[in-house]
Amino acid sequence: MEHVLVVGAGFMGSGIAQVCAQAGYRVYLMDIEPAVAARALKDIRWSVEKLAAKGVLKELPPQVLARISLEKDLMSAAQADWIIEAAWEEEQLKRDIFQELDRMSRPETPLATNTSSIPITRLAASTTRPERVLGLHFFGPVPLMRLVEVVKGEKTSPQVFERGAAFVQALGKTPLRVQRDVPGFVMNRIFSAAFREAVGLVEQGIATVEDIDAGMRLGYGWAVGPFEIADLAGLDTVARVGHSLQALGENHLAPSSNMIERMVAAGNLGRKVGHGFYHYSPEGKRI
Amino acid sequence: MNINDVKNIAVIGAGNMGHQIALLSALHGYKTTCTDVKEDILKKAETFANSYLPERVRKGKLTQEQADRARANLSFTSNLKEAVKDADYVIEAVLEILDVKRKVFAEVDRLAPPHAILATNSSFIVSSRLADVTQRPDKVLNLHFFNPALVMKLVEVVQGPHVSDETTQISLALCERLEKVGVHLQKEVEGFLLNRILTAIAREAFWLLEMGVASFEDIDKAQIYGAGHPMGAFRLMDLTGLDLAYIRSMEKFRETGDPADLPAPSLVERYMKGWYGEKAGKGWYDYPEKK
Repeated sequence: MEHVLVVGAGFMGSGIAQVCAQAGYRVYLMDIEPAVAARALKDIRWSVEKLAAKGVLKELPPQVLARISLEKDLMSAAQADWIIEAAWEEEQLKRDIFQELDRMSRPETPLATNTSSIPITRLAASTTRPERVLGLHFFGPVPLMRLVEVVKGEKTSPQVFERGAAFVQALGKTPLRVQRDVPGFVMNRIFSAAFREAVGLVEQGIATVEDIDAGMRLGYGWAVGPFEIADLAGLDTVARVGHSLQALGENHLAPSSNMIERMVAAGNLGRKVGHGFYHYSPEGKRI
Repeated sequence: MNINDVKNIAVIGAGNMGHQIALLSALHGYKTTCTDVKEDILKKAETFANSYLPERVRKGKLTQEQADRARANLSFTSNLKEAVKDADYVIEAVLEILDVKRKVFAEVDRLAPPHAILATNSSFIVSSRLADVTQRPDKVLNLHFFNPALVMKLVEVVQGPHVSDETTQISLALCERLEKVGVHLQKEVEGFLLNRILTAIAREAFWLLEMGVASFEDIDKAQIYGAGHPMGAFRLMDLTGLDLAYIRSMEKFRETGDPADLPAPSLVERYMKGWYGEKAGKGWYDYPEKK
């Protein structure tokens, strides 16, 4: 049985740990905050039980949960065949973690990061094995989202890149091979291009938020419209994606107005707080 | 005038879009006349209606009575005057060629009652380029259905600067009566709403491809599995035609002179080889069965 170490037990880390355990890997889920780790385990239990109730889990929930252990430090790095970092999206923190992981893990172990906005190549530079560092960018909620971006840094070897894609497939997900370490990879670039246009249409008074979402759903069969996606992702996250693209010189992908900034400042962060572009009940239903 | 004054609808052009819009209108209780300059196209539209309605009855989607009523509401004529003389609302769905549409609008303006609204189903010719050939610019607007019109729920209602609020309100209400969702564009912009967003995505998709970031297959996958789109930009281009994508880019470039508007090299290459998409058997993907 292969061992996976997931660093960071937040929303993304716990989801990644869960899908790895579901796929049969032995998982170490590490977080320095015991409360975060405990919460993650609770969330994972809730999620696998829900999946089991829907009949989509291949085993019983306890069998999946038994493969996950919570860790307070990175000692288990030495046993890991795969390491996925899903810590807070902060470059210095991630660099420190990579440096530590590089020291503590076996030299052949690939080091993956779940970053959505920091160039893989920069994180790879803080290790002695840049050819084994790659991006595995999952989307949340991880158990439900089918796509994972496999990102090749400037020095990532083709073998490690392909192993990354095979690993994603072993998790039952579809790999999207991102061959170059460009800002926003593929998904955030495509989302941002569409979202920038959608924001422009609203700001210029051409169409309403509701009409644009209905338009993309009913006219082109999108599962959700651009503003609905933004509400789901959280407008603070959307703003952060815009900022990170701007910081990396991709101004043409960031919204051309400060609409999102204004909404974030006003606390309209989307579904998680009950209001963003739309209003939501405490259960998260649109009202 | 209000929506209750709309009783008779004329659909001009019985092709790809027109024949379904006419049937949609007849199904929702409007006395509908469908016209086309080409007899064979008109015949085809009539044959479609005659097979579609019984099929829906067989599938239990319509009662025999509803089908009979719809059929009785629908008539076909190659005589434009006959088609529009009693119309309260005219929907034009002829070829997407500006001069052709201008000619049609000038003629319909002469033949239709003065109160009739004249809508174009064009996906990219804005109504302000048609309104000036009529005596009623306040009643000329874009009413853009999606293909297939009987199925797709959306209609873009585009209010150019010359369009009255009354015309817009009646058009939005008509969408509702036809059981469609009308989205109101309060200004007239190129590409309306959906195409602007899709064009922004296509531009980014081409950049990712040309920069060697991802294959076109993977970019399509990203849209389907990651973003919940029914298909990606390249598959969509295969359906709508690479020739159209190429021609539109070139037109845009001629207009702006901005090299960024030129078609992407990978598109030019396929265009030159005649790989126009599904209809040609090959575009981004292969369609051996269509060859």
